[in-house]
Amino acid sequence: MSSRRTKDRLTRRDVLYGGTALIGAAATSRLWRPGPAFAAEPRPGGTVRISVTQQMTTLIPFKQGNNPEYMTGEMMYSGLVRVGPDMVPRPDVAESWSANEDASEFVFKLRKGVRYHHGPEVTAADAVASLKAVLDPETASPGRKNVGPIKDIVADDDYTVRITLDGSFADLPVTMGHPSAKIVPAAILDKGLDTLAQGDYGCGPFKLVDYAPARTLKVSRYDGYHVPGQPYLDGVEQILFPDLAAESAALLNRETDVMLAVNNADFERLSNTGGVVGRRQRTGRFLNLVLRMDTKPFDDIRVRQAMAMCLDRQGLVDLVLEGFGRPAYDNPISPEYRYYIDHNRPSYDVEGAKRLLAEAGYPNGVKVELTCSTRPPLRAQLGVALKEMARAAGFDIDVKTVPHDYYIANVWKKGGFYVGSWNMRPMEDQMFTLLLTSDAPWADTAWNNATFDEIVYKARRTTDDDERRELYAEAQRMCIDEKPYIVPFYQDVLTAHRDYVMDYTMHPLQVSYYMDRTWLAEGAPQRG
Amino acid sequence: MTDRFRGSWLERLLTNPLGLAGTVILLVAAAQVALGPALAPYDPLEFHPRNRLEGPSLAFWFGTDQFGRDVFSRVMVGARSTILFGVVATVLSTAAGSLVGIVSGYVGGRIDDVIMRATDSFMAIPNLLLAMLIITVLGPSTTNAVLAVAVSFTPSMARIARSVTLSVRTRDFVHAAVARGEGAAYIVLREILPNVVAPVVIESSIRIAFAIMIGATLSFLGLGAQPPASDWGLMVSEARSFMFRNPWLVVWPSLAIGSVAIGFNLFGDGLRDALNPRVGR
Repeated sequence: MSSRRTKDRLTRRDVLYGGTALIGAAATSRLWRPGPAFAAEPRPGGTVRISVTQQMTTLIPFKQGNNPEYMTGEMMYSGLVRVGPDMVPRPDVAESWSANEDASEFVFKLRKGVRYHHGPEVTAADAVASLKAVLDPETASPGRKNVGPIKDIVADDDYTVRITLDGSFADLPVTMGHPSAKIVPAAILDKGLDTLAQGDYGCGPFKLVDYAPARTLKVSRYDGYHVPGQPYLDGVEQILFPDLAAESAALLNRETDVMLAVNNADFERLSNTGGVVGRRQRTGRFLNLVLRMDTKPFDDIRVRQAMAMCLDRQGLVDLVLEGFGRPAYDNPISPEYRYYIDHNRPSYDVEGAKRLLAEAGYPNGVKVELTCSTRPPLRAQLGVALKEMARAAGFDIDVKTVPHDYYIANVWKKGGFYVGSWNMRPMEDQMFTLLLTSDAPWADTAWNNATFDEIVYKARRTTDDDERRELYAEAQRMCIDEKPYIVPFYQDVLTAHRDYVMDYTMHPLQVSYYMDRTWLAEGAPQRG
Repeated sequence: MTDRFRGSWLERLLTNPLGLAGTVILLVAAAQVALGPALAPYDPLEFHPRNRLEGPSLAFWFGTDQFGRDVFSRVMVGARSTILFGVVATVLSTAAGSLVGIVSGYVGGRIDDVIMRATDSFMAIPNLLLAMLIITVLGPSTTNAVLAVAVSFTPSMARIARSVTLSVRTRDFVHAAVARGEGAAYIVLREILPNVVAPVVIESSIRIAFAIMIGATLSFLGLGAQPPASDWGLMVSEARSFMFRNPWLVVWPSLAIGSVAIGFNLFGDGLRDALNPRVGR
């Protein structure tokens, strides 16, 4: 564990994820047409137009939090490392890294000669200042709690960054790949964070050309990018389409080349259109039912179990996800994670659920109000399906939909029963410490289980793989048995692009798109 | 009966082809409101997972939606919430608007100025925006949506009631009542109100169409009826994602909203002609 130069040797993780990828490829269905992975030599040139439905709100990389923003941040800026679709951290501005024996201190060696778009060379001082900005509560970066338990960051020289941790944390190279952990010039940060919102101070593969908020973002190739020969594209345009029908029509008309996200209901139609490639990626993304454990009726474990037992989970995958997903059994950790376990699947048993409700003191059923944000619409669909399924067991669910802003302000972390929606995280620790430990910033179930906290924090400090596996298994067992959340399914992520778009990468975390490696084959429309 | 019918406003309404068409549409709608749930072949909330997103068939006349619910049953049942929404909101705004308008017009002076400037400022905001604003404050639900639409329609009803009051106030029979020493309440209720009724009723019959459309729009935006309710606006909204898989899902509720809105418009036009023979076509 002393050296984690992943390039040099095949790690256990490489094998693990390589293995899953092979199984995934073998399971390729008619709908699952991956991009031509063994394609010919990349062809330079051309501009790709990508349609997005979420609005970019900021150019400041530390503050970016939605998918179009992640894509933009990745194009304009670079970080120390990049986490691939296989969850393996690979060099970016850092060319190598190493840890001390108990993984409490890491040293990252920076590449020499990496230059910002506006000229200066990237130095260790920049990386230090940038990471400190991410950690500064004033910045309000979504990465603050995600980049790891960092105690101190110093620059040993111009090309060496030393990070001291609060205890052991073996996964630091993974968390350093967090999309908000980008490197910007220290000199610009000195002028204030908002300077970053007004221009381009990155060293990423593309330079900012034009940003029209709520409309388009255009970038062009940065010739001095530190990876020779890349990027292949001359430019990328991101276009906002608030209307889904207009967005898919644009792809069909070849007005756009890539749809960042495709609606489940629309996927089959697009995939079956000639010239369009529909792509599907399994992820640990899920919708969850948040059952608040300090309010009635869900303060009683039997009520939570009863709710879990009246769900026909495959039925929900078919009804709500149009089949693009897999049933889950209340585990927030999916098989894509390293330490996933399959444990104690609740059976589909309406009579059993009824009995449990009666035991809990609700022999005539119980009335509950379920709040669903209107975004994404899947939340309300899950609510409606749930109402119908749980009725037989005696749950009288009143589904209430609210606008997303109202949900964030008044329901999330406050309501007693609502539908949450979470992306996959690069590792178990982040899922647990973001949502489920007592001190988690987004804890919303009032679980507050000290034993669980202890297990999670112990696992974080443990460097022995087997011991860690057992700790995370225990944490998952607690989640499944005590049911702070009901997780009915894992969603697939769907995207579609024209068949001349090559090597467009789908990342299970949806934070990385590798536009620097994407290229256009012959037949792509010529655009100025 | 025939004698009373001949020459009455009802005859004038029913002999006018457009007025007749409007009346017929509204009668059908009224039957749907009254009997919809009884006529629906299925429970509108029942899932038929094996028959998801099917087109019209003998078993499901209007096809099925993403949960396999029968769209025909949902349209039949949805008439009640959608149409009653418009009617209730309009009745509320008419009552409130008439009261405010008559008082404002009859009392006049400073009070009139204040009330009218207040209605001006409300009318400067488009109805839909005002309704959305109110719902955002009160929280989304059908009741709040009805209130919001009623509030947003009240100022224009008040303007109409006021203008009629102003023209009636100076008429001889009002002066006569004042000379008799009648109280203000008597004059307003017995002398002015009967004259205000006709124009206000005409206006409200047309307003109902707008109220239904705003109600449907609010439901479409997630601010009115809540799923899984069978509400026409909500049905269009939910069907939007499946528009390309099963276009019928959007067609039926949209047709229902459109025809009822047209029905109320035609009826209102016909009623205006029938009650106000002097107003030329």
